[in-house]
Amino acid sequence: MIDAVIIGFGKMGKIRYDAMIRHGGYNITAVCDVNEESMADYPCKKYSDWEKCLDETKPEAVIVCTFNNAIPNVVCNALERGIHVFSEKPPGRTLADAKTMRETAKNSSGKELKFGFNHRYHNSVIEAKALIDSRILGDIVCIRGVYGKAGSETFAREWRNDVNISGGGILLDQGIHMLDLLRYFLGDFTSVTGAVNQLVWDGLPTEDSAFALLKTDAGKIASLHSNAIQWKHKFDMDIICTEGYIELDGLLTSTKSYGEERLSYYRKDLEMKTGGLGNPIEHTMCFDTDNSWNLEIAEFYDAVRNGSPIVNGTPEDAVKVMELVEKIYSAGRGDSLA
Amino acid sequence: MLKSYDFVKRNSLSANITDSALLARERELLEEFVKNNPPLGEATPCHMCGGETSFFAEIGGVTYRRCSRCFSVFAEVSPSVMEKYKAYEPLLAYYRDGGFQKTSSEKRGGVWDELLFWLNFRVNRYLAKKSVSVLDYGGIFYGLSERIQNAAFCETYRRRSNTLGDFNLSEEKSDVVLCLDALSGKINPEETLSGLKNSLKDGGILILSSRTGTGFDILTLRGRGIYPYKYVLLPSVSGLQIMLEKLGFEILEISTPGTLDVNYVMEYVKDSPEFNESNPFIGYMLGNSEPSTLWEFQSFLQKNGLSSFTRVIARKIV
Repeated sequence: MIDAVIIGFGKMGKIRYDAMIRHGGYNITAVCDVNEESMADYPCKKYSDWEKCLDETKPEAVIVCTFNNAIPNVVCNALERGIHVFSEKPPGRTLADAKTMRETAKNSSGKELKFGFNHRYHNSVIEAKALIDSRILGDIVCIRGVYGKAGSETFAREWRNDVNISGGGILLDQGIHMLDLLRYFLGDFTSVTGAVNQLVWDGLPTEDSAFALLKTDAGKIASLHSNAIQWKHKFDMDIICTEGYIELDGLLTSTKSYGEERLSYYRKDLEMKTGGLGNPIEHTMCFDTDNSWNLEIAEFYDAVRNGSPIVNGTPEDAVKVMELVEKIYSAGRGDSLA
Repeated sequence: MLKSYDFVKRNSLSANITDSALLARERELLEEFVKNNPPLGEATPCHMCGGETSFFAEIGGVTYRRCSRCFSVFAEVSPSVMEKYKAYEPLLAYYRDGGFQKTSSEKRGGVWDELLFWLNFRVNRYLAKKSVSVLDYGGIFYGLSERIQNAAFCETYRRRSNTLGDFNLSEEKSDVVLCLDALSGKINPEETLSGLKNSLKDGGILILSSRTGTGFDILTLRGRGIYPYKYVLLPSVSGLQIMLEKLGFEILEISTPGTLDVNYVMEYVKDSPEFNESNPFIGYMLGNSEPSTLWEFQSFLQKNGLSSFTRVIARKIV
């Protein structure tokens, strides 16, 4: 068993807690949050001071689910104490935060650092990656992505839109997942441009809409619209390959608000063997189970306990995706957010 | 286990993949055999899960039973009769005949191409290997056997088939075992699947497809259109799951992507006024709906595990 504590016990802390219990390989010795009520019903030690928590529990691993501004400090402190760390995304508020955590991990003698880029573990993404890597639809050439939130009555007042806490708006909060996926499918982008705006939510210090256009050295192209003005939760990726097409539509989440999770694919069929022109036979897989939280926490367990490499959400992944975020903000607004 | 409902989006119902003249000749041969070789079977617990069973239908003089636990359907036939059936020369000659093979390839070529694409995708997905060793069990179509043998993902091809003959068999275990539409002719599925498991490497995958006893056309028609002894087992989705897990497989995915349930029922219904009497809604729907509506209904069956064609991928773990 890995003795572990969870620092930050809001919605994400509880999701990680449940996944760790399901895994069965973690002994959760304590949880920590400034809001004591959030920890009330949990059968372990409770702390409101994270340093005291680490001092007294001396865990083997810590799961960091705090606000963005607190992440770098907690992560680095834990690594320096010789504790393995699994941190939520985003990896801090800035690229500098991500680099600092990466450097600290490098200097921490074999202690693992993983970031929660959870979307890579969704069934539709796993299947899409298998299709792309197998090259049975040819080579991937471009991706169009839309990741939209509905917003809410309290949206303007949420901590995610307080730039001192969050570091950015919808792009850093949610669009970052899709940026990570774009990188996961296409590789590193060397050319980035964007438009970052408040299109509807006037007066927000952060953006409610971020458009990005990205290109790799090999000429592969991606576009992203990350926004809080969709008025409905939406997750869509169109992946075009030389011999076919893949669509990811919807995502299974705890709220079920992003609809059914589907992957559709079809092959280019200009000879009309499978259907009329423009209407090739299309296959769709629908997924009714979300294993993403389980797979993520299992990868962390295997890294800590068995020395398996962390493949997804590495410190390098974190730095690369934050580079993209900063380039989009730079290109889109012309000022720094931090 | 990933429960994915693979369904195929089309704009109309699928074209029939069988030739009516060939089908009629096959039926004649099957009926002849059954007439001369009565089943000699008796009521037994479910062949898939061991549950209690009750009468389902009498088809061509053979009693079929249905499990009350897993809902699999199977025939009461003795093993000795099935041994004779396996060696029934007129039927074997019919399947091996060039005319049957050529027509089957023409009718089914498109379906096989889609199947090969899907196999390539799933092998890559679960084994992360570009090419694998394959054991193809129980097939009756040379055209499909050749396609598999020549597929990009197939490095080494072996075949065990009573109809087509064995090919390249050895003691070596395979990365992939294919049991495509071959389980329905087995009265002892546990023995068959156990044998296939022994042919698999540890971590290898079994890819199985079968007509299913919980599908729309099977239950709506109460087995009409199923011929003994070609079909003596129609396992349910849950029956397959129970048996495979019992044998030490991890189910990776189950789907029911059948495209022909509505076709089969429509074929029967059009000449059966008594069906419309006893099933007025189904009769009305099939007789009065636009093709796009019928296809949406077929999609509904596929998506919700209600088609009578099931595909399972299971990994050998024990």
